[in-house]
Amino acid sequence: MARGLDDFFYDPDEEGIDLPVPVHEDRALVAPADVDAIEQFLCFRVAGERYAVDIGAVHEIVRPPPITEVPRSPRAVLGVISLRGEALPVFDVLSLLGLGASGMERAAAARRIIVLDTADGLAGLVVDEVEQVVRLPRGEIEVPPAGLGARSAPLKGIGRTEGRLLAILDPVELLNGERWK
Amino acid sequence: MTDKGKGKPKSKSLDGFLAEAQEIIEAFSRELLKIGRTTGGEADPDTVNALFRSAHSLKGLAGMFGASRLGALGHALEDLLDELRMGRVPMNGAVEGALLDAVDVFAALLSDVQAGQTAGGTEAAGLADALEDKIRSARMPAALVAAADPLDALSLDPSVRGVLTEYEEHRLRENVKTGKAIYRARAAFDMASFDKGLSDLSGRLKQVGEIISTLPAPGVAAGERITFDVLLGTARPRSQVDEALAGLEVQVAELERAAAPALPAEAPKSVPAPAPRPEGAPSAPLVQTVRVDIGKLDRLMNIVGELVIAKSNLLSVAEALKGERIPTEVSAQLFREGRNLERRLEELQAGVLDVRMVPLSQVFDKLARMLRKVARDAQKDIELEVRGGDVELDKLIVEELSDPLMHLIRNAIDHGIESPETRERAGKPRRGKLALGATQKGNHVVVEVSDDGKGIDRRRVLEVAVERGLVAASDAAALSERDVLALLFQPGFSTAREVSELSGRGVGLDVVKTNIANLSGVIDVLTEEGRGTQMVITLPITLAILQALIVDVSGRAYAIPLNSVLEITAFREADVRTLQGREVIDLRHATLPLVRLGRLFRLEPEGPAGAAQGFAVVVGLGRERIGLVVDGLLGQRDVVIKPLGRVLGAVRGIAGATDLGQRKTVLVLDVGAILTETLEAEPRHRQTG
Repeated sequence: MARGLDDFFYDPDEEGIDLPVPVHEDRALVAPADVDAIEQFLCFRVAGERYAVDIGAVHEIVRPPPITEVPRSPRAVLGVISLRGEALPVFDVLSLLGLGASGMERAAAARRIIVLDTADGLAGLVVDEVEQVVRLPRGEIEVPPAGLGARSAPLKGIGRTEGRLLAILDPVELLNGERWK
Repeated sequence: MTDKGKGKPKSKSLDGFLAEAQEIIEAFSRELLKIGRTTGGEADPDTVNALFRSAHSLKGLAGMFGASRLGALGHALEDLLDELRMGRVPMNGAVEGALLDAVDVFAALLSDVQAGQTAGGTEAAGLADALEDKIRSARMPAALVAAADPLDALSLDPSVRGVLTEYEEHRLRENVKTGKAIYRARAAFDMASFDKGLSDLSGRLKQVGEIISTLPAPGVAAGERITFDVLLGTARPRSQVDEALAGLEVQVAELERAAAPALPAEAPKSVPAPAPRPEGAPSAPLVQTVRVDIGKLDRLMNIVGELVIAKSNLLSVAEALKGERIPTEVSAQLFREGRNLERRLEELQAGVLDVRMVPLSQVFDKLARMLRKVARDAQKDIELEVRGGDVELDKLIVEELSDPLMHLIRNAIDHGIESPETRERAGKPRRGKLALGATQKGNHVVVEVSDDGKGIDRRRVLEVAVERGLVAASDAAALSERDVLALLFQPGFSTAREVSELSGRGVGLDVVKTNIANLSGVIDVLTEEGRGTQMVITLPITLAILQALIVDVSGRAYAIPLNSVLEITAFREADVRTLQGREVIDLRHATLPLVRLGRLFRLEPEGPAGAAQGFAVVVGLGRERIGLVVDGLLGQRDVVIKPLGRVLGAVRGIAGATDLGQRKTVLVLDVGAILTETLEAEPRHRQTG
């Protein structure tokens, strides 16, 4: 594996996560010319569903500190946390996707926060579990099916790993304020 | 300095160069006057050093600005002075003449530079050439008498003599020649604090003589301590030296000489001047100010902010340890050191804050220039009166203040001050008056823009407000005068019957108000019809670090900037009255509107409702004040406000978040916004439609 998840972790004492061996590792070795076409995604789970974001957009992964709720903020905003002195908002993925709010209970039970690096600064996604980094050849990413409506806007594509579906999200569209404010 | 000036400074103007060069030349000529009074072959070493530094500075400065002729002369002069201070050239008429000429020639060269001539061929350049010849001949020693070196007679360890700089050796020789006694003062200091001890020792020795050199003592090393030898030359008796060092652990030894040289009688002529700087007298800095990118200051500020948080954590650990099993004196010491750290940090914080401060004149001057142009375009005769330009504010605030102030001034010229003819008819002087002023009041700065124009017509304001649907016609009559003026700051309000190029349409005082609110400030308006209008802006001095009151609201902690807290008062729920749909209490015979933060933030109340007593944090900015009802007070902390992040954007009533340590994040209330929101939310103010 080219890049361990450890690089993304804030806590040095973080215990390691069992990382399944990426599926397409061998293929990359066999055909080096295709390496450019391979994209890496960070997979995570929220409310039983598997999602992924381009690893280039991930700043780091942190264990959630206490989240301070922000009064009168949109529902998707679970609150703010401090990361090395800076404040950053953390979001509920389900609300961002328009799948209903998971609320503060989920925030309290959250296992990890994926900190995304966006053009507008850092923002956190509260997730149940961070699973693995997968490498997918660009050609194997399917275009999302039509007819999902406005909700599908953050859905960039669908990938398959180990025979399971993976919803690949576009961080920019996901955090687009017009959708959740 | 010279190596720093490698890149041509673009920002620095020629004026700056001229002013600085002028300053150096003036300093040079002042020092020169002193040398003129010294008689005899030896010039006062301090004076020569000062002259040397001036020449060096001038050379460097000229080099930075490509004034080559000036630089060359400075260089020649520097060489001469160097020889002089090393004792290689005696102070005589030729040297003094050259130095005196130099002042005039420098001045002549400077006027060349001012006229754009930097290379040569001018009259001044001719003078400079002549002077350089003079300097060259002055540097030729008339006759070098190869006398026996008096230092050879001194019982000075050759290893010590070997490390003296040429200048130090020269000074030592001069002292011996004039019959002064040479003492070696040896003292050991703690490694951690030797600089302090050494400067104390040097300070005392300077009282009684000249410090020739300060050297780490050879061959003396003992663990954590470091030993220094200070060589002192003095005409005073040994007893005075001992007296000066009373109370210090210093070994003093006089260096003996083999044969007593001549001139003992001449010795106690004068008290030697304080020692020149060691290390061959480094040149004094050319420029006394440094331009710093504000971003760098912000980073420093952030670090200071994090230190403040770390300090708070440390103190709470110390506090927690108090009752534990560790010995009392250890925890007491920890606490004391913590307090010590706290004080130093406060100084550091104040220092960094101070660096960010700039005088308001920076923006006032700009506004004055703009005002003249605007007044001319509007064909109005206006006199500007500025005061308080020296009041200082955070650089960022000063920059952000420019636009709102410009807007207020334009408004005053456009709508406030009448045309000269109208003013004459009204019995006022033809020339209108506009005053721009600033005063500091505690942690706030009050900036005022006032005019002696026609004032604001409240009836007209009401008419427009009703026309635009800002207020219902039926409610209009009930509005107080102050409420009417508040309408001016509503979005989309403009009373100008004719839209002028200056004030434009649509963008008005609401933008000013928003800009000011973004700086955590408020704006008030006072007006008297026919007499004038006064806009009063109240701003915090800085936004970087503030003290905050931490309060509890429904089990959550919030921070209220202390600079807007007037007092904290307890009240009985039974005393709460309702006035025009709003809860109020009486506070010393004044009515204080209450804002229940829990309700404002729609938080679920914790614990049983209907407590008999509550706390109100009385906050105020400008003339407005309200009581924020909280459930409890948690303490007072220094906080660094961080924005909530652009992804989230602004949240009404929240100025930002602050990290209180231990990963605890607390929201900081935006008192200005809450005040505004509360006052606007008054039922009869509510917008219709």
